Amino acid sequence: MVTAAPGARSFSGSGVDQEHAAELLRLMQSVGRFMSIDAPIHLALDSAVEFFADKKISQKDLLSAIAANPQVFQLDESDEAPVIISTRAGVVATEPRTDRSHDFATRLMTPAPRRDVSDSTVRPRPRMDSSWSIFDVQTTDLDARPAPSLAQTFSLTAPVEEAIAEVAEAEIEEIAAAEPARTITVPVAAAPATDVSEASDADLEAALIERLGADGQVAMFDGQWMLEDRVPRFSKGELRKLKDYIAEQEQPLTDEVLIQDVLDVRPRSADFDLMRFALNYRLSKEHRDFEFVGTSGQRFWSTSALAPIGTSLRKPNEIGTDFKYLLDEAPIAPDYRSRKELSHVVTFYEFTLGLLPYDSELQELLGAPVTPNQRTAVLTFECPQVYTTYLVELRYPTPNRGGFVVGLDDFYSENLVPGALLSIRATDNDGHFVVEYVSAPSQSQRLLELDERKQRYVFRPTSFACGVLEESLLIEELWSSLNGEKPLDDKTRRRPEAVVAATFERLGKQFEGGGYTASFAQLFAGVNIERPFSETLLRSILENDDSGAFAKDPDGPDDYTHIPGSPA
Amino acid sequence: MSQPAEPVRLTDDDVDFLVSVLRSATEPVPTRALIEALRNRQS
Repeated sequence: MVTAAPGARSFSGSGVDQEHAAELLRLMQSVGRFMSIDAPIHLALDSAVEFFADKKISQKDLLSAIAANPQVFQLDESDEAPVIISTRAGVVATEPRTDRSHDFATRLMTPAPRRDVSDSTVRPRPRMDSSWSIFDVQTTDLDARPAPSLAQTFSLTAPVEEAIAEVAEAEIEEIAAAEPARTITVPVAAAPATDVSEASDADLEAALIERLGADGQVAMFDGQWMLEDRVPRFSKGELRKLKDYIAEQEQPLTDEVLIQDVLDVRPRSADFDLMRFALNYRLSKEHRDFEFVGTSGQRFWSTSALAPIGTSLRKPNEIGTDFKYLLDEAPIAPDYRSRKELSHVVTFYEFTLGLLPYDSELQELLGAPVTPNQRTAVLTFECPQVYTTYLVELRYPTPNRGGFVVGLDDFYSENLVPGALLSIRATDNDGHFVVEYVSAPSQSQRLLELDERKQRYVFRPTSFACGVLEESLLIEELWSSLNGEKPLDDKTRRRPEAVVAATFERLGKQFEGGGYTASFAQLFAGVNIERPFSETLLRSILENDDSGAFAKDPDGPDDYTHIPGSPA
Repeated sequence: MSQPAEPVRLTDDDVDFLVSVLRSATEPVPTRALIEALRNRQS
């Protein structure tokens, strides 16, 4: 502690005044002994007079000493009782300049004016990383403020104790600063709520997916929402177990099966729905190991280790290319799940590969993809007539390939023949369908087949007990020219017009001019031997042929003619 | 011929409200419930 000793200090005035001033300063120092060195010490003149009464120092003597030493004492006579003011340093106290421009109260109550952002681009709302989402702080305008200068952020305060009197007297120069003080205002005023009274549920759902779905702190899967940090997480070991279990079962498994069999969560437990959501959401983020191949009703998960469902006779990409024509026939916005049932005649191409075309009718029967980039959906087709449920796979269309259902090989070969009538019925579960064929008395015919080993068409006696479309049945009597023939080469079958021309010739019904004639139904069955055709595509080729190779036959109800040698 | 309706745009305030709804949920919330919450907030 530094205190100026009265004896070490020189006083002004007469000898008596100097002596009285030293006594008075000693008294003042004892009164303010716990005060800082430059803090003003107030002592009532009456008290000092009373103190010095014993020392025979009168009020007049004190006033004389005070008057002789104005640099040491100050007499405040503003009140009724005069007060002597001094400091422990022995100098008249100067009021320290208190800078309150940056204390909490001042900065809280006087924020910097809002920046005019009318001419600048509005900064998008920042999205916090999910791991920080526990902080409910809006950081919207934290970065929108101009950066303050360091000098402006701070201002020098009153001198510290060691600096004592001379520093206390110095004026602190204001540091020139052009920029306003940085002020943080939390939270910022948000845009008002949207009026949704006129909006449809579909519009609102789209808006939710667009806006809330892009929010990192929100988890969404198949129309269900949660805060991301509330969704349980799975360890690497649990994820590995899930992957191994799917591979072990050798087929895609639903979320319900995985939760019960791998994670041991019972359906009746309180957190079953939560864990089910967690499984779907967390697996959807594991793109490398898991792929969602389900529907809302049956959320199947697959891994890359699983063998593809369906035929191995032709690659899926090649089949998709064969069905490319469906892209031109599909509606822009399919009306999913609007149809309850459809009927279909199985063609030779579909029968051989176990397929169904994902045409507009099938799109209306099946559901929409659950996830935005979903490539496939595993469906169950139950046939009550044979007490069997088949696992099939729907391959959604891509920009270059048509969609199709694959995996019906066994169902077809065990129960149907090309030309058979099939009905598919939707159920409440959008991933489960009932497929039935028309039961009919058993009959035997020599029907067309492709000998896989020899890669040649053959006719073999075949017994079947299903309803068929007679014109679509590929019987030997009608298609005998195909016996022993090879399938068309790839170059020919890539051109639908060439396939149609070849089919006319295979049927072999010539007329007098040297051309061929055929009914549309027979042509339709014939062209579908080589590659898939829709009735729309076939009709379009027959009627919109600029080369003149095909024409409507006026002699038949729905017949067409083909002149060989024409450019087709 | 009627004009197509303007797509709904949710504001930051709407998102904050929906997040607060989700914060109070312990189970997954279906889209339908969020839409209802938005509508009820208006009235």
